[in-house]
Amino acid sequence: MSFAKSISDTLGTTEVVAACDRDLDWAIVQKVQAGDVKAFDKLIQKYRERLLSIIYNLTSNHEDAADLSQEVFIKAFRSINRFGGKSAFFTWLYRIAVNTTYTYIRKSRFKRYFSLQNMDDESLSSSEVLEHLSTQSSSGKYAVASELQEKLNEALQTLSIKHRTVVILFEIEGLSHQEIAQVTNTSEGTVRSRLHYAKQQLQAYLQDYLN
Amino acid sequence: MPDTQPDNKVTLEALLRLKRHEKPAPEFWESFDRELHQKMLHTLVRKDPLVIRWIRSLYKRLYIVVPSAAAAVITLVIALQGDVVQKTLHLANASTLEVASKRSGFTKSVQGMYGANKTFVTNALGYSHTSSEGSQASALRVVSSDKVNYVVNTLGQSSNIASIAQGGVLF
Repeated sequence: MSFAKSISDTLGTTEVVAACDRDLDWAIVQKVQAGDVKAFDKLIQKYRERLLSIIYNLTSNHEDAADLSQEVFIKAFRSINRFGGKSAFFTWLYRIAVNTTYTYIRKSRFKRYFSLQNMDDESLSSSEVLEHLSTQSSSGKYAVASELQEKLNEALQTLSIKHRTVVILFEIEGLSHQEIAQVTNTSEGTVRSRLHYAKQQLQAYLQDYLN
Repeated sequence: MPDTQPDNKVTLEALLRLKRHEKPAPEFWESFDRELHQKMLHTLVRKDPLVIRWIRSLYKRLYIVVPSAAAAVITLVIALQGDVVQKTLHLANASTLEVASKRSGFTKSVQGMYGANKTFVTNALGYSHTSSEGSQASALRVVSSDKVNYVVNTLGQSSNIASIAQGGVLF
C-alpha cells in the first residue's frame, strides 16, 4: 500500500490511473493475441463510445460514424498481432480511427450537418457547464443549447480535417498534446499550433454566440 | 469556473465540452454490437482471395529465402575465388596456353590438332582466337582427357588465363 501511495505521490493520481489502464488494456490485448477472441469484446465495450464520438465529430454523419466505428474495430482485431504494446492501446486504436476516417472523407466529399443525438435531460442537468449556458427557463436552456450545438457542428466542419481532429481529441476527448501527437503522427508543437489556429477559427465563426 | 467567464458568457471550450454529452440511445448499442459481431465473424470465416494469400505466403517466405540465398551466394563466391587462384596458378605453369572453343566432340578434335600436354581455355560463348568457329559451352567444368586440360567458363570472350580470372567466374 505504501508503495502504491509513493507511486501515486510521485506521478500523480491521473498518471497512475492511466498507467494501470494501459497495463489492463495490454493484458487484454495479449489474451486476444493468444487466441482468446472473446477478450476483444472488453476492448469494444470500453472504447466504442469514445470511438464513435471521435468519428462522428469528424464526419458529422451518424450512420457513417457507426459503420466506420465497426470498420475500425475490425481493422484493429485483424491487426492486433502487430500491436506490440509500445504505446497505449487507445492511441493505437484512435490512430486507426483517424486514418480510416480520413480515407472515408477523402472518398466522400459530401458533408451533412446534424446532431448525433439530442442531449437527454439527465445529461443536461448533470452538466455544470450547461448551468452557465443560459439563465433562461429549462425549455429555453434546451433550445439555446441545441442551437449552439448546431452552430458548433457547422463551425467544426469549416475547419480542415487535421485542425478538426486536434480540436476534437483535445477539447472533447480530453487527450493530452502528447497523446494527440501519437495519434496523428505529428509533433507536439504541431498539435499546439493546430489547436491554437483551430480555436481562433472557431471563435471567429461563433463570435455572435459566444459574446 | 473554468468553463465560463465571470460575466456568464459562454466560452468556446465550454461549448466543445458539451459535445461529450452527445450519446446515442442504449438500443443503438444493441444493434451496433450485433452488427459488429456479425462482421467480425464474417472476417474470421472469410478467406482472402488466392492472390492475396499467395502474396502473403511469399512475403513470409522472403524472410527465410533471402538470407539463405544471400549466404549461399557469398559462400559460393568465396569458394570460387579460392578455386580461381588455385587454377590460375596451375595454369600459369603450363608450357603452352591456347584458347579454343568448347563444342560437342571438341575434345577429340583438339587432341588431334594439338596433341597431349596442352591446356586449353574455353569460354562459354565459345569464341576464341584459335577456333575458327565459336560455340556455346553448356557447362562450367574442367575437361580433362589424356593430359589435355580445358578450362571452360561462362563469361564472354576470353583469350587467356588473365582475362578469365578477371571475369571472375571459373569453376
